[in-house]
Amino acid sequence: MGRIYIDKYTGRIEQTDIYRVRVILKDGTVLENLEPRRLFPLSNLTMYITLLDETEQEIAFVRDFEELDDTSRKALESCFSEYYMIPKITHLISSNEKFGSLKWLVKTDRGDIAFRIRNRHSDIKLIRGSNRILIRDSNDNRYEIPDYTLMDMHSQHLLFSYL
Amino acid sequence: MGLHTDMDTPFLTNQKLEEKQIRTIVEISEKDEPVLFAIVGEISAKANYSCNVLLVTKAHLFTYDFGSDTVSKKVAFSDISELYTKRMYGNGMLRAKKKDGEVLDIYRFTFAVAPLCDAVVQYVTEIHDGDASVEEALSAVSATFEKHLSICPRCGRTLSAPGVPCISCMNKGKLFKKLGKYLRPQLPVLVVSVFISILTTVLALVPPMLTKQLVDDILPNTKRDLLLAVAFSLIGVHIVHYALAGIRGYMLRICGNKIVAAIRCEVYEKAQHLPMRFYDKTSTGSVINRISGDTATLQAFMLRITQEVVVQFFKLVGIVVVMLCINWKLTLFSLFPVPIVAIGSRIFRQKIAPFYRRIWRRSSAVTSVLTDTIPGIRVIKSFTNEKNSTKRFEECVEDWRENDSKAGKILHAYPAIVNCLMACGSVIIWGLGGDLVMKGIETNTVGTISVGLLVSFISYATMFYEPVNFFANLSDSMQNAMASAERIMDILDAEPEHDFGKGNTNADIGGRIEFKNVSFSFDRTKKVLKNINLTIEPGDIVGIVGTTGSGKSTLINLLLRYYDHYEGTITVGGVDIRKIDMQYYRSHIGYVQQEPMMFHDTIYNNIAYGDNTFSVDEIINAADIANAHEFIVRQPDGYDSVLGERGVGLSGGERQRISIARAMLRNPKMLVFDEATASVDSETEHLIQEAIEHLISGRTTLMIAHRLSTLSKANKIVVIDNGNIIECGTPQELMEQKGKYYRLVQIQSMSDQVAASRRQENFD
Repeated sequence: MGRIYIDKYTGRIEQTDIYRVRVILKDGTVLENLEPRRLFPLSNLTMYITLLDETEQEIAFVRDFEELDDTSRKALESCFSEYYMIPKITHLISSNEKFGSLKWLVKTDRGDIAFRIRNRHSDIKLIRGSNRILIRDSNDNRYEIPDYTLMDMHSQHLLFSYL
Repeated sequence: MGLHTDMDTPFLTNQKLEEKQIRTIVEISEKDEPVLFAIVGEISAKANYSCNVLLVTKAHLFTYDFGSDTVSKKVAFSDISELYTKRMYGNGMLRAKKKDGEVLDIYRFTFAVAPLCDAVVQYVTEIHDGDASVEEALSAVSATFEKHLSICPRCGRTLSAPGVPCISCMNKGKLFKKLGKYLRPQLPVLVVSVFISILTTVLALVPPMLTKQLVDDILPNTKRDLLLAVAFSLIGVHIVHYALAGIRGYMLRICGNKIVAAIRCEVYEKAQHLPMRFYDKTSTGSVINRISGDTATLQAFMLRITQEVVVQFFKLVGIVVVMLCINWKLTLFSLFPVPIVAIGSRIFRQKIAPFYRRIWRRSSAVTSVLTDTIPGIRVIKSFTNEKNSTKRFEECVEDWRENDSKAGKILHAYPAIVNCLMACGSVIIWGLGGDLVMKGIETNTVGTISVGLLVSFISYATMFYEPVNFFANLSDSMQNAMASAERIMDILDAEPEHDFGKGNTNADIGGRIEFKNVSFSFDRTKKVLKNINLTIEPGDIVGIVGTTGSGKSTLINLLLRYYDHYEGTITVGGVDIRKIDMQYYRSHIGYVQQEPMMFHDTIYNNIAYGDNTFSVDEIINAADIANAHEFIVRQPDGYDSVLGERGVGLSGGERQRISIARAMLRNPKMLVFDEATASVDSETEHLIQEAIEHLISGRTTLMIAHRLSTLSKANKIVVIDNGNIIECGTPQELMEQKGKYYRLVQIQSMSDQVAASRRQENFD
């Protein structure tokens, strides 16, 4: 069976659960319990969305949010807001290096949090060709600094040596 | 975080709660059904950071969010038909499917507490299903809490197992102190060198004194006999001075080399014992850079320290003493740049340190591109990807160049300022000293200073700035070396593979293998193996099949102890494999991979692989049984044929047979084949198959295979799918079940038929 591409002409998407949707194709076929996932959760948030069934098999595919009708787009956005949690760091309040690991206290769009970074070389990644930084803490939680050059001077100063 | 069950906290918790918080929890729980354990999480139901607690009693679960002061509705275990955790991206959800079909989102969590939420699922399920009493289920939860929250009380770092010493805190000394242990064995030579340094410093102070004599006495009074004597004395002083300096330099270079050789070997040895999860997260380029590049930087620094710091220090002290004796006022004037240089050095250090880290990261990225691409040059050429490869390298080099150039501004501005200050200092001495000399001549008084004294003072002052300059610039190379030392310590201080069973060589490696409730994830985001239960009897030949990414190789990786941080237990001969001496354990397992590693050495040495105890006959015999001997004899250099990097010169099948011979030689009690015939043609497969059959007789064998024909001798088949064992039994049983294995066999026999008919067509 070929890949089913969903756009406003071929079908619509309805949210059925916090992270699941139902797809209703134009021919009346209903695909239940599909889990939308971003194929590029770091580099492209609105294109190339796969819809998996309970066994993680791809059932349908969305090329671009823009190709969907409003209801379908909102359904996916709602699922993604529940599924993906990558807090955006707005301020780096303090950075302490102790016994080889870093402890950061940060302000994010979801509140303040302190976390530990195990390896300052591999867990803090500046995306090449951009000012975006991705961070992974010692528990494998993810954080993002969308543009470090827009942060306050104190945060930038603390960040400098880790970039 | 820590496990807290004291008088103040009447329930298990992963984090110490404030007294007020405990009181609140006690108040909201019912008296006849107290909270038994609590998971203190970091996020609210809406995924904002908040202290949100999951509370579990003997029959209910509910949450309390301290941030919004809200208690959720209690969910009774009896109403739940299924409780499960859903791992999402950066967070997860504990969900309950009620008997009426309604799905409840009970508790949102970050991965920090994900394993504890899994324990809740197990607890509730066991109680609900009646498999365990509350006490029994609670004791399992308690063990999970303890295991996942073993933390170092000093640094808060999670430990690999409860009670193990924290590797970070063991080495709490400063970097220099750590490096000191490498200096200690060289102490006798260093002491002799210090003694020589004192002598050379004293000798270096002699020439200006003699110069004073020349200017003030011998030249004005034309004392020719003394002129000759002073000239010969100066020659003698210089010869002895430089000869001693040469000897000292040689001694210290030898010392420095020994120190660095020791560090390099220790880092390399440590790298051998680092767990696989270290390499999962660290690029090999970065490790290579540390072993070669960083130790070389450290070598340059340590040589400079050992050779120069001592000499320059004595020179500095000696010169200051002599200058003070000559004229204390002039001495104080000439010392004025010193505090400025010292403060400047500190500021410089702070400014330059981050740059060194940035430069290292970029330099490491350059090495990583090299280690990725040069060994893979065949692939690059075959995909004509030379341009992209070069572009990627150029980008990395450009990034490094930009950062290095930025650092260059500070790097060169600082020495320029220091040198300028020192030059100004010399001018001041000329001005003030010259004034004193002129006053003496004008008033014709003796007691101020003479021309000779000023000349010799200026010689000392010039000599004085040499050590000052040295110490001012030392911070530059020191920063570079400190950054290197820090990265070397990253490896030396990294947690090695734990060998809790060191010395325990009593286990029967050929005995029964049991996986009990084994679950594993590389990180906390996704479980690769889920609750695996498997028993393999001695002598069993077990085929492990499944689609790519199903978890087959991970299962083998756990058995080989590449990863120890899994849940559940794996026992061999009744003993937990984590409690068996690692070297003993692994030495009894023969492991043949899909892409066997060949080393740049002879075929003979590749089979013997560092073990000199085998006789030539044994090695030839092993090669013979592995069907390798027949192609080795066709090589012009036979067993002496040197293999290129990664075994270049041999086909995939030939390399595979050498690796089987290597395994054969060790006479292992357990054999593991990881898709050993996946990348060879049918004829070679037959040869390898034959070699494997020779090898496995009487040994417990685990074989991962895509080609089911490889498993013709297997008496047990395990089918893994998405981290679960979905089928297990004899090949006949599984064929009768007509499940996944049956379908795989059907598909493969069809594709074999197609391939055979194509071959026949081509032949016709």
